[in-house]
Amino acid sequence: MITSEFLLSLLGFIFLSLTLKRHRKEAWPALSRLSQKKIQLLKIAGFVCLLLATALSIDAYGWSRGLVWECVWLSLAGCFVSLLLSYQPRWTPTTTLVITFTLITSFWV
Amino acid sequence: MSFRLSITWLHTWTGLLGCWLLYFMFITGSTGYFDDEISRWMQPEIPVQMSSFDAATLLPKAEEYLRDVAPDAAHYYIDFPVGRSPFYTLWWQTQSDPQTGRKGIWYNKKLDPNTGAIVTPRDTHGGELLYRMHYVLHYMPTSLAHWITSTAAMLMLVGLISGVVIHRRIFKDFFSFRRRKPDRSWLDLHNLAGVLPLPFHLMITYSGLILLMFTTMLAVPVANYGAGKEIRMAYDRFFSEHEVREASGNKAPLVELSTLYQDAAQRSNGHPISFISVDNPGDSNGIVSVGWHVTTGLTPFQPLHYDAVNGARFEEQEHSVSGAKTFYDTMEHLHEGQFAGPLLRWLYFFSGIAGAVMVASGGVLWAIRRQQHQKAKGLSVRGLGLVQSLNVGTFVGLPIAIACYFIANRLLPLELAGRGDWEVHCLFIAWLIMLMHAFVRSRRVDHITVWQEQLLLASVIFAAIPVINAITSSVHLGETLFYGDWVLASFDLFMLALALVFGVARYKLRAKTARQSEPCDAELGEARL
Repeated sequence: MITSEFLLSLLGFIFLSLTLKRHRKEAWPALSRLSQKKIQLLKIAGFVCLLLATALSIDAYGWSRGLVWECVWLSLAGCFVSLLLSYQPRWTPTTTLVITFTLITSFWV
Repeated sequence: MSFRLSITWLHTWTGLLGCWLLYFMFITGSTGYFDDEISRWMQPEIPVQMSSFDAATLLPKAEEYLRDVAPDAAHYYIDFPVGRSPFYTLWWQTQSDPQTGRKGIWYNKKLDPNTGAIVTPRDTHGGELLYRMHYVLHYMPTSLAHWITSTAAMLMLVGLISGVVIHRRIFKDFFSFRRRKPDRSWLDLHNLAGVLPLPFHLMITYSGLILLMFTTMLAVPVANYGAGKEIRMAYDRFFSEHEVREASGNKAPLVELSTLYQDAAQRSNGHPISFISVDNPGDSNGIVSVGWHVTTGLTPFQPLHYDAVNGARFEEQEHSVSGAKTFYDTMEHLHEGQFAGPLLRWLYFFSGIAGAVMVASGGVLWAIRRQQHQKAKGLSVRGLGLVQSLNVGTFVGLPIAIACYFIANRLLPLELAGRGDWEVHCLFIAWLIMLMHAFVRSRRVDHITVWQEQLLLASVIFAAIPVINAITSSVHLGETLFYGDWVLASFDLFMLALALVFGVARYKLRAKTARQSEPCDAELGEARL
């Protein structure tokens, strides 16, 4: 069961990880020379995704359960991104695209 | 000493002091998220519910049995086969002692959910004892155990907060797992297992402390309300679920429960009724509560209350709940995760395992650091051997011991007196043997070899569980998978998964030591970095 809250948390964490030089170099070499301004934008985009995921969780489960779920999604997404960056960093661009695509379709339908 | 250094010192030593007990608490506590499922596996005699629960014919049988066996009980509690628990269980509590106010003892009996006949399953303490050990330990009085586990939880809280303080690059290393660097990989693992589920760790530690506050912080309410009977009354007043009606002492027959069951079933919006509880059955002031699982909020149950004699439903009065109770309940619900569905339950479980990985990797890290220190300076570090042996004997030995608990459940003769107790003895004997093995073997061989031996044993013994289950019971994988009984099948499959995890760990460790015993220059260079 993959929810859009989880996908958004994943996307948020991927964006945030790409603001770090080491991960950018390993995972997405094309982005290795990003300007400071664009890195800031990436950071904002990451946090926006995480906030949006939190809002969706609260919307879906109510305040108390929603916050519990969001903690769960964040922990799980963090684990996923850590494993991705450690074992298959080169898959990051593809993964990002797939997640974005799934998200768009899930909101569309 | 600078601030960060002194906090590092605090983190290192509180962690080392607590790590083995905390590992025990994390592992046994995590099994609690599947206590019903484990209990089911451990009592294969209990029949599975075949069709939907027929309350009209089965409930009177329960009432009759309770009236016969416990006419003077203080409480009845009937658990229906709904959701995670497929058992039709009757509970009753004897009257509390009028002198001391001490609560009576709970007894229970299981019924066949299809026929209502009494089932006598094998004597076992099941998954309940396994998870209760994370706060009552074993072989000691409960209050002492509460003190010990509370102290450990306090060490955990200190460890978590000091860990965040000394984690210099908590944001930059948020996703880092440099598994190829021997120096970094353990630290990265320790950090990941600590930081990613940090909300869970903080919640479980803090709420655990709160749950035991009536032991550790008893002095506060005693100073306000007095000791003995007064404090129990104060507790009842602030923490009981609904308005308490004292027993009047006048006898009055209990209303037919199936009518209340039907009434509640019509008001539950299609949720199946999961329990009926009766306060003071057979008394004119008795109260019946009928409840079901709810799917919103953190409270797991929604009850309706009825008069136990005429069956009139109490109107939903705004029962004034104290702020203290609301807070305590929220902590309890979060800690126990009773509201969690299957997915969330698994994630609760894995968060607990992540906690175990965090404390275990901390213990290993301590030993690695001291060993490097010892090699570099040529000095011997006191206690290093002790810590290394305790590490293996606990971090691998405890899972082996738990596997022995499950195996004992299948292999001990059914007619053995005190069988349930012997299952637990087996757990602790196995753990003791693993600790002794670690201490004795580490005098002769490298401690890496001891790790390999125990990991191999763990792998074999977990793989043996489904096999022994298939030989000794009818609920083996062939049967459970065929009938789609996923609870029982998952238990066996999870044991196989654990066997695989321990096997892979052993294989990797052996490959690594083989590589290191014939080192090439490049690797040595990396190791020194």
